[in-house]
Amino acid sequence: MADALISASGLRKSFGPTAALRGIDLDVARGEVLAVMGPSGSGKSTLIHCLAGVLAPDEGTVTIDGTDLTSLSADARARFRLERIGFVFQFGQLLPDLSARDNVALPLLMGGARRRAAVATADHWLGRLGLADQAGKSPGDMSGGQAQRVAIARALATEPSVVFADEPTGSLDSLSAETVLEAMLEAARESATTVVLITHDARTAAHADREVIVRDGRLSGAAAVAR
Amino acid sequence: MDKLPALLGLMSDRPTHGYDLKHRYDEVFAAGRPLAFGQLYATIARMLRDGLIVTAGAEVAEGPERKRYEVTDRGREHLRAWLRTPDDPTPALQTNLFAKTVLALMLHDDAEELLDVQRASHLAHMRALTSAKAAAPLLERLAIDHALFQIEADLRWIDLTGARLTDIRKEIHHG
Amino acid sequence: MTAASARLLLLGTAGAARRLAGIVAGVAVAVAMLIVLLGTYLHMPDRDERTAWQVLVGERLETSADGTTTAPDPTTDQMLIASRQDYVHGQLVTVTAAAVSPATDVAFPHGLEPLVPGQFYASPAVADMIDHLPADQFADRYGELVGTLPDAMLRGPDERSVLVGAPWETVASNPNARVQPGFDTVGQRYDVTTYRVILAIGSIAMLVPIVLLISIVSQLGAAQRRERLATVRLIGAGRRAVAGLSALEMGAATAAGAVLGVLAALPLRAVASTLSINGAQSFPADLTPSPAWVIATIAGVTVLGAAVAWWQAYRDDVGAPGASRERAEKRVTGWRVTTLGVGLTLFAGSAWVANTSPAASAAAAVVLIASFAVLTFGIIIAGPWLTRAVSSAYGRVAARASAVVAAGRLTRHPRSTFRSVAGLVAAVFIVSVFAGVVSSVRAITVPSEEPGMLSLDVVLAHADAAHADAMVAAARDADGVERVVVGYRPGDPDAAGVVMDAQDARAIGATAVPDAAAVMVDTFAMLWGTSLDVDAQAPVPEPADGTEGLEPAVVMAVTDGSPAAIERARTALDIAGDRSLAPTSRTDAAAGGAADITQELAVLAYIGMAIAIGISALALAVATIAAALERRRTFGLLRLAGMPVAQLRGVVATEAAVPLASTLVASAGLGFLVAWILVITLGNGLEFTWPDGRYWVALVGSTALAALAVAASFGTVRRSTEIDSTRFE
Ligand SMILES: Nc1ncnc2c1ncn2[C@@H]1O[C@H](COP(=O)(O)OP(=O)(O)OP(=O)(O)O)[C@@H](O)[C@H]1O
Ligand SMILES: [Mg+2]
Repeated sequence: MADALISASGLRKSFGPTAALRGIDLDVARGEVLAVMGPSGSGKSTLIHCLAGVLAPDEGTVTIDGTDLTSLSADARARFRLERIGFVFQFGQLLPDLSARDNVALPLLMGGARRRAAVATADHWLGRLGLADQAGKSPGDMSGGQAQRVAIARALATEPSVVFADEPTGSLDSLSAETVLEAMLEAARESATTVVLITHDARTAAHADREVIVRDGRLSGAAAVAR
Repeated sequence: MDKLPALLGLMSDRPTHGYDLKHRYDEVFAAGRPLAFGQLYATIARMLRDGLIVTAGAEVAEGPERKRYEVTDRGREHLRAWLRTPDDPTPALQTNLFAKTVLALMLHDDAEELLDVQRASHLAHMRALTSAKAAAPLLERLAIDHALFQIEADLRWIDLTGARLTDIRKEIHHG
Repeated sequence: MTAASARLLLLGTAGAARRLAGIVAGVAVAVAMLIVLLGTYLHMPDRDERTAWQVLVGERLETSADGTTTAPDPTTDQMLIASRQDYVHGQLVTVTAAAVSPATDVAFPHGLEPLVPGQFYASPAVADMIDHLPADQFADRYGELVGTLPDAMLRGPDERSVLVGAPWETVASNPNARVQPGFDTVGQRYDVTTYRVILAIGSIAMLVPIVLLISIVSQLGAAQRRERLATVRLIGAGRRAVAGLSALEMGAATAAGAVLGVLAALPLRAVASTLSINGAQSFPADLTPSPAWVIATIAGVTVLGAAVAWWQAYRDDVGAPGASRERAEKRVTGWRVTTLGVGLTLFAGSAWVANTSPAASAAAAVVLIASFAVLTFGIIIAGPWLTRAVSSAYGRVAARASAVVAAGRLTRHPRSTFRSVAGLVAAVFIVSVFAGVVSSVRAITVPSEEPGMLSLDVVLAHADAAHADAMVAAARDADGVERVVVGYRPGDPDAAGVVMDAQDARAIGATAVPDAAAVMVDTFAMLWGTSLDVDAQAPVPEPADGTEGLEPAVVMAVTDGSPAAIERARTALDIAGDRSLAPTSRTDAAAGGAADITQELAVLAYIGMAIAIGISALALAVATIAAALERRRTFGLLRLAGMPVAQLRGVVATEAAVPLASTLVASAGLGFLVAWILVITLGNGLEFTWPDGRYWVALVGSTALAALAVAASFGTVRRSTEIDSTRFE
């Protein structure tokens, strides 16, 4: 791919006797929204963890925007994640003791932003996700959909190059799922953020530009990929 | 369902008599609606005419019409193309896809791949609908949603079939 | 629930062994202390019973108006007994003088042979001093050492006590002597109540950190088992069954800890017996409760452990999985400060009552102790509120990510975060009170040369006409005596002081001596002045007519100031004198005061608090680890998002530091306030001063232990948030 933001080749990863990834090559273009599908236990989460530099693959390389993650130390990868990568999970990722605003401001503060600036940015992103009036609430007092939107605001607030989302709408009903997903993708597309999205749900995958299917630790549907 | 490729598929592992063919068809695909002899011979005639099969000589033994048919290279080509062509999401899809899967398994072809092809095609449809939906007025969105759910139901069935391929293969070869 | 499933739930947990080891260790330390305290408490009366023979219970001698006494003639069924305090090299020696007729029927205690005049028995501690001191400094005072007093006649091994055989006439002339048919066996228990109350408070103070530790450790257990238990709950185990499991586990651990503690009490006893309580060290047996009490203690602590764990588990029941969304604590309000206010009011009020109306002081003392307990309790109640107030203010200004996370946690969970440090905070409060009170007493404990006061080199002995000349002669002969001064009783019986030569007056330290041949000097005030009243002014000598025709009242030896010379002078004056009162110097006057007992209490308090602080630090370590495990998912997510481990450690450290800092300062301040109230209302003009080094050691020590306790959790923080060990979906 000419303008690949993420480029992985020959990824292998085992957990003890379980081979979770058995040789994966994958390029993701800048600004692309990629859906990762596949049966349970096929290695989707492991794949994005390797792509995001959370896990170090046993073999193979991952390059994001010219940086070879596999050659970085754990600390350097943590730094890289902080600056360049956002995460959204299925649920329970917000800090229950912090308000929505502080939750969103947190990664900015970790990156060294001043409190005032971080809070202003947080409010901006909460506003973009339609949560302007919820900023002071704590996650325990929010609906699942609102909490997911806070998580998305947090992932996007640092203006990362890529957002990895693992079943971001997996625990929501159809309509909330759709609103949340649309909010996320709209915000991501506006800022040309690349999104890698794990989903079991075809309607979610249909929002992506392209999908890959992981089966037994390999990408299948090569025809679809080549298309 | 398209009967022609189904029959073609049933014939393609070895030369077959018409009677035998009907029998096997009823066993695998008919599900309570046996194939009429008239329809069988009409289809065979069409295949002969298009050069998808040829007569391989009659067994002289008992009974009149004991002709054996054999699939030509052209026939095989036709079959392969059919297997690899994704169906549009229509009500006929299930039966077609079912026939394709079973035939692929019988012929030791890559059934997973044909499911993937179908999945990709469906997703492409869904993607098109999804982007159309983004711009559509609310009422139209409802209609699109309905279509999306229909396709999604197909996809789920495809996923499930994919997950059960191993079991189905066993049943076909030993059942 | 079957035993098998219980085992599966309890022991299969990762870290269960370490957690249980923690509780066993903590309980063992505390129970060891508790056993020793309990033994001391129970045997306190025995100590005084053993020294009952020293107590004067008989009839006083008849005293005529002019101060002379009339004693009965010696008989075989009576004895004369008198006692006094002697000083030697700054140490107090209790001297009991007994006079019996030669063929007496009076039984000496514990089968001791009756003494004839000039013989004496000494306690081992005194015998030891006699061995090490020249006779003319000490032993000559009593005569011939004929045996040692058995342990059964002593409070403790270091008790300095002698039983002297005296001539009948000598004791008969002592106005304090009594006629008794024999030695007393019951004794009097004046100070025992105070000591027992203090020991009881000490034991309770020891239980507080144990209860905190158990509650915190069961919380850790709950954190480690949460998911498992949630599943058990889903399968259908009741809330009680789950709480029962927790109680079972903690009961077993506390029982093991208690048994270990009883064993640990043996060596601890040896150390504790060297501490001075009520003026003497203890025999190990005095610190050992009976087996029944030991068993009762083990059972009690075990039940306490199980009950605390049961309640802890029952109250924050996990519920079935999915149902447990983390709830914030119920909001703490400013009302929590009221207990503290009530305690402070009661405390100040009762201290004031005790000071102003001596009649009510006994009742006031009980209220005083109770309000002290209320205050301690009030600190623990008010702590969460203060924690919340400080941390929400902190949260608004916090700029670092770790500070924001910690402030969020603190603001929403002030109870549990404060509970981790509550033990330390309470201990610091008590230490501060003691340190504050002790510091004020300490101000008068070290005498120094002061203008107008008796020079520290002077030994003063009371004299009368019959003995004065011999005393003067004996003092002159003593090595190191530079001058011997005689003070005469003035003609006017109401005048305070003695008449002496003006030169002599200067020699013993008097200032502003008028230009007269003879002056009247208040030697009593010069000797005791500042040890009874810090604000005492040096007495001013007045001109007098002269010493002609007056009776001697005191003989003073001015020595070269060396301890040996002072003791020689003292011994010489004593032997030549009437033996009813010991010759005294100003150093002795200070040594025998209230300071000793307060210092003794301070030592006990510091030791008790050191242990309480140790257990509290252990509790803090456990609580910090529990909090880290409870939030491993949150922390794991933060690490995933790129937070360095160092910042996570910062979160954990801040969560301990903020409640500790905000409440520690407050409780130390409150402690000093309480000490100040005590000192100004009860202290008869004592001055409140800065505490001594031990206090700062205790403070720095608890801070260091707290830091260590938090640092101990860092490993868990890192391991439990390792990305490989946490899965995110
Ligand atoms: N930390 C781990 N330790 C051991 N095995 C693991 C670990 N993480 C993943 N696996 C194994 O690797 C395989 C792939 O897991 P992975 O979580 O990537 O699947 P997935 O595609 O995300 O599944 P799902 O759709 O259910 O989330 C599974 O067999 C899983 O058991
Ligand atoms: Mg997964």
